[in-house]
Amino acid sequence: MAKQVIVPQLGPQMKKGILVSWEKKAGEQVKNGDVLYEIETDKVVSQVEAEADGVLCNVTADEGDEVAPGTVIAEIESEA
Amino acid sequence: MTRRILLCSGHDAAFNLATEAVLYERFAEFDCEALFLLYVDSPCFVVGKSQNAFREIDWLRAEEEGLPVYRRISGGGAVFHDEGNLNFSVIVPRRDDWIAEFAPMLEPAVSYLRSLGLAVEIANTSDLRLHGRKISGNAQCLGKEVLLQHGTLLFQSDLSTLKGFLHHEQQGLYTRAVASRQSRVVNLAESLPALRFSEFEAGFVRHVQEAYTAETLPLSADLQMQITAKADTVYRNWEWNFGRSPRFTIAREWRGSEHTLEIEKGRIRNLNSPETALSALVGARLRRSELRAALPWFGEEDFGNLMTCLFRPRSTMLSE
Repeated sequence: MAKQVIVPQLGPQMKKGILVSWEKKAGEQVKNGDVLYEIETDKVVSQVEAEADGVLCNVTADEGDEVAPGTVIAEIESEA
Repeated sequence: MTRRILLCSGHDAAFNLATEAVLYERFAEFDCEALFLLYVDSPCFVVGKSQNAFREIDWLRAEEEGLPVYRRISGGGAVFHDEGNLNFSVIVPRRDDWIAEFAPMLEPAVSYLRSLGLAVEIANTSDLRLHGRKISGNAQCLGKEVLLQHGTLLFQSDLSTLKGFLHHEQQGLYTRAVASRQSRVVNLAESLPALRFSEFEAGFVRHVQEAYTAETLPLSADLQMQITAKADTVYRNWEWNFGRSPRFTIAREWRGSEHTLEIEKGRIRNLNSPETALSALVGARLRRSELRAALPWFGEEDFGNLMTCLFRPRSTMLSE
């Protein structure tokens, strides 16, 4: 089972954000609630949490990339 | 639930930024619904968390003139702090209905300024304006459970320094970092000629204490120790302030030929130049002393020219 990591809509005005940093690396084990990455939109740096337990994989967005809400930027692969 | 306020007594920006960061991290311990922090810094530049400090600031000139550069934990653009600027932060529990909202946290500043007879208004979601000109810029850091909003209040800040070092054209510098937005700014003192900065500051503290029944937050020895440590290891650390800039490229002409530099974590990772001697720069951090040490055989004037060509803002250079 893989859970997609989708860029959230942070406020009604948000059209895109800049992926500031990955707090977890591809291949790393993550837990539901861990801070996964930081994104900046309109003067706000937000920490975004993992929504599942598993291994972070298929990371498609790099630090510095512009990403729109709804974009899939990675997956969390669980063993179950 | 109580509300608390802290006015930092010193003007050391590294200590004050560390105070802000530690109070944000440890907010849950203070058992309060809102924490207000006020501080004033000695002259310095402060960039947003995800910015390229080399892009935003004329860093070579800042270094020469002894003006430090710091990186804060909130987003947004580069600003200049000095003793005419009052920094005002609000820390509150995260609320999902406040995502991308600045107004609730701006309320103390707005109500204080209006009590002084100023018709301030919120503009662009996160700015405060007086008669159409910006007097306050604000930015946030939104954690899992806590929201920090930081803002400046220009009272009698040296606006010429702000203009001289920030918001330059940077032709030949390619970066994907968050860029600053330039605004027409004005000092509040122009509208409050009878008020001194110290009175303005004390009035704000009193307003927050009274209107929000905020009690003073005591800084325990443990908190002070953690703040001092963070000031030293993070905010006085070049790797955080400059080195955290996203990787970028500089492509500029020197002595008639194109030079390309790839910068990662503030260090020159790669350099393309017809002058093989310049390869000695690879590995050096973008600090004047380090670059100078890598090229000891250069004459002072040649070295100065090279630095200007590669690293000074382009528009400034053309007008000099």
